Amino acid sequence: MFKLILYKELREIIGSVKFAATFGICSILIILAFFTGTKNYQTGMQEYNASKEAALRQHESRTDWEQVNSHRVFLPPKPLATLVMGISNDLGRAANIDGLNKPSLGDSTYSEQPVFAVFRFLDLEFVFQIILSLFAILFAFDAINGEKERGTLRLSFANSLPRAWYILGKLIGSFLALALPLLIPILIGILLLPLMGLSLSNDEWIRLFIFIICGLLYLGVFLTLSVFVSCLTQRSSSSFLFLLVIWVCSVLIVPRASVLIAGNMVEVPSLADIYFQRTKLERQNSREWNEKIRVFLDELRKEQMQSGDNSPEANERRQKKINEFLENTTNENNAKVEKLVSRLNEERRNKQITQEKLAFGISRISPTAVFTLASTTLSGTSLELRNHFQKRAEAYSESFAEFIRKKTGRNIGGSRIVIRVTPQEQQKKPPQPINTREIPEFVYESPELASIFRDALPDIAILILFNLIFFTGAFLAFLRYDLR
Amino acid sequence: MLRTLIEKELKAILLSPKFTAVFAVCSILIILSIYIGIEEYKASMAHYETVNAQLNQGMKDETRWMNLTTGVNRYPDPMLIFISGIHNDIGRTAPISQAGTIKLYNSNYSENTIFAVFRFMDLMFIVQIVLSLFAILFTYDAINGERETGTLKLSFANPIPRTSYIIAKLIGSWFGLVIPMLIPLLLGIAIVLLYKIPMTGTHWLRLAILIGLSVLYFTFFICLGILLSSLTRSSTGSFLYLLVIWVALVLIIPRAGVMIAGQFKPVPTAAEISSKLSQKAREMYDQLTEWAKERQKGLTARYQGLQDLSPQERQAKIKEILEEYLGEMREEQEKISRKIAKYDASLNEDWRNRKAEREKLGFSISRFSPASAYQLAAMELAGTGMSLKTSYEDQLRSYSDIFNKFRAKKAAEAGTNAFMLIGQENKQEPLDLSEVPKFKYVNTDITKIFQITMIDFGIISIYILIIMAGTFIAFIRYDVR
Repeated sequence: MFKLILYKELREIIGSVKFAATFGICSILIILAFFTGTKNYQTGMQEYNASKEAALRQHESRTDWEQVNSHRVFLPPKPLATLVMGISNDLGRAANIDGLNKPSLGDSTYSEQPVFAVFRFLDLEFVFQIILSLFAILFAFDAINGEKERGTLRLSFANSLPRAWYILGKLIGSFLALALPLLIPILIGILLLPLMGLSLSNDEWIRLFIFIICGLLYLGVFLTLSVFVSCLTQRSSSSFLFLLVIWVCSVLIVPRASVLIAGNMVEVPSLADIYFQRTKLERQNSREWNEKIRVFLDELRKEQMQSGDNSPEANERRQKKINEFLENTTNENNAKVEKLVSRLNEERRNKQITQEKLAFGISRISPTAVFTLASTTLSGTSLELRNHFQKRAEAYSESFAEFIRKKTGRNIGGSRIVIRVTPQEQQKKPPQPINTREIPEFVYESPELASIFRDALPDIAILILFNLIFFTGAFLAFLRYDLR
Repeated sequence: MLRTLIEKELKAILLSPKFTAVFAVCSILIILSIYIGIEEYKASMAHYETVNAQLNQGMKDETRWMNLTTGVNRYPDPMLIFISGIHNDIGRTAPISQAGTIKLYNSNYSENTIFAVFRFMDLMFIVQIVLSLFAILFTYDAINGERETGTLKLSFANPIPRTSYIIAKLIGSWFGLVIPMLIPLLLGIAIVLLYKIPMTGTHWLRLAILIGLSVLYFTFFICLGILLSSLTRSSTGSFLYLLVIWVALVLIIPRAGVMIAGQFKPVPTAAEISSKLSQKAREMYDQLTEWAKERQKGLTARYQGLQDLSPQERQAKIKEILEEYLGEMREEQEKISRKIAKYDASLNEDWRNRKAEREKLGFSISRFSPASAYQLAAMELAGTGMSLKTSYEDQLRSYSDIFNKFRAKKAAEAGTNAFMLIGQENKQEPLDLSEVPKFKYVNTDITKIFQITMIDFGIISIYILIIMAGTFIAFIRYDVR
């Protein structure tokens, strides 16, 4: 009996003109998303390599490592990030590394190429989030009350048919009828990836797979919700309107409103504020330093006058003293600035975390927001991307500073007087340029699969929960439904 | 007759439960979007003022003209309440100092990434996506729905000319949908007034044109719905066709245009440009070093020729030679700086031209869709379109010249040199900042904006005319049975 209802439901949906049209649109959109994603990845990769080369070229023809005091590293494009873009286009992709300050991220895709910010991109997440949810509603808004209006519901129940079987057949049948055909364009899209020369790692395949499951779960939420609403209402036109209102709230209003509320409730100090406090301290430091060095040089001069020793050894001793003084005071000042900046950054970070928690907490009433959060986490383009890139850049900054220390024997950013005496025979041959390939390479590693999965798990669980709630709701509502 | 028909149409729309629901949703969305816009504007304004205060404080703390640096903050225009455009995507602050290219840093979305996750919802988004969808929902069964319910046959049992009927349909649906949508919009404007947002006359004019444009765009979808419903027999069929067209026009074509242009016209990255520039600069300075070496050889030769002179004469001669040499050196240096500046300018010019070409191609392709034409024109009207970045950077560049010249003049007057003397006592008075030139962003002229948006007005109007003509023809041939 159950099988029969399932078949009937499948045949009814798949045989309809509505299905052919929506299936056509979805297929085009999904394949297009895969295609443009791959293309974008390839151009992104070209740009990334060009920028990386350009950064190294800046140091070329320099003959002394002393002249290398900063470097630029870039966030490499990731294949999954082009399928689910998240914040990857808003985030600065370049980090300035000077081995001293916290690397600042700049040059986001959208700020560098606002032409793409005008219409933004079409990615898989957008297709799922907006189009598929709308189609789920279009297919299921009249699942029950539509049959009632046409009179087929009464006809069906003229046979000895348990209600539970009927509603189960409806729910599962409509889900299969929508989800299975969707897998076809998704599979074609996935096939396109290796065909266009894009290779995913094992981890990435697993993440893509889980993302697709999330997409299907999200489709399930809107499908079960639509059947639920159609069981609650008597007329299909009212269930459609009701669902449309829910759709607008879930897709458009709740996610944006939650961020707005959180933004109003928790104020995060701006980067400009931190920058200002920092320059203020630096200015004060420099004034104090100026005073200190004046006293120091006066004393040194006095000492020189008293001893009257002007031998080369004494001069060298004095030079050493000056260098020591310079190194110490600079390190001291840098430490002071560093302390202030890291405290301010820490405060800002904490405020940001509170704000994010609040915003995302509220937004999770909407299945759309839950889906967005889950899918961006899986693709590595959630807010975590910013933290992770920042952390990696900081770690790189330390190793860069260490590298420069090894090459020049001094701390990066320190000041000292360098006097080079070049022996006669060396003067004839020009100094050799440095080998820029020696600069340690910046390797960006995505977070581990286990940690990504751990982060996405709560959202996946919420999606399953939504499915269960609406499924049970539809089930219970139909048991009490007035068939006449 | 026409009046009765229009009245019937209006009643049919306004009294349906569909209308109440959709009207409620649209009203909430429109008012919410304007409220969000106001909040966003206030936040941008607060950021603008803090950063400005900090910049001023920084300038006040400075005691040497030579070290004076400033910065410019992008002033948030109240029009961003309605259309945020690329306002949040491009940088907000540009440091102005002696060296370094002019660039806006710290975009809102890159700094406060949380807002980028779900993005903002502005009036343009509501009109472009939600209202267009609603226009379709109301008109997809305008003709074939009446046929299905049998009322079409009934109507034409009376002596009604088909043209009057279709005109009444068009006018009735237009009034029934457009007028109600203007109500929440007016409420939103009342909120803007209530919050005392500093809108000038030009702002109001631009807003009025923007509303006109939105109505035109909405009209396009109303007419499209009626056209499709008089081309098809069943209302489900027309609904599906409309949905397909809607997805293509609103979602696919705008994005596809820019993406295609991106593929056809690649543009070098900022990193490549800056590396090219620094490479050139290094080459030029290497040339300078070479030149100096050559000149030094000549100098040595000239010094040797002085050996026969008396010490005093020699000293005077050496001084003369040295001064001459330094003068030449300075000249050479200036020449090279000019060359580098010229190279920088040409490089940037080329870069911008290539970007502009890509933009032009992308936008031309995407203008096939009235949704993109609407969006481009609306952003232009709000002053948050593509030109925002370029015109800001242009104006900043000329301001930077003025500022740097002013500072150099002041520094020369104060007699300080470029190098701070280490260990020198540093008790200088704060600078008199009253004469420092101020930056003022000049908005694009309203007539120019209007000229630019005329193309898009034209495109949408032509589409509407074509569709109206099509609807007439289709309905006159329509089988009413």
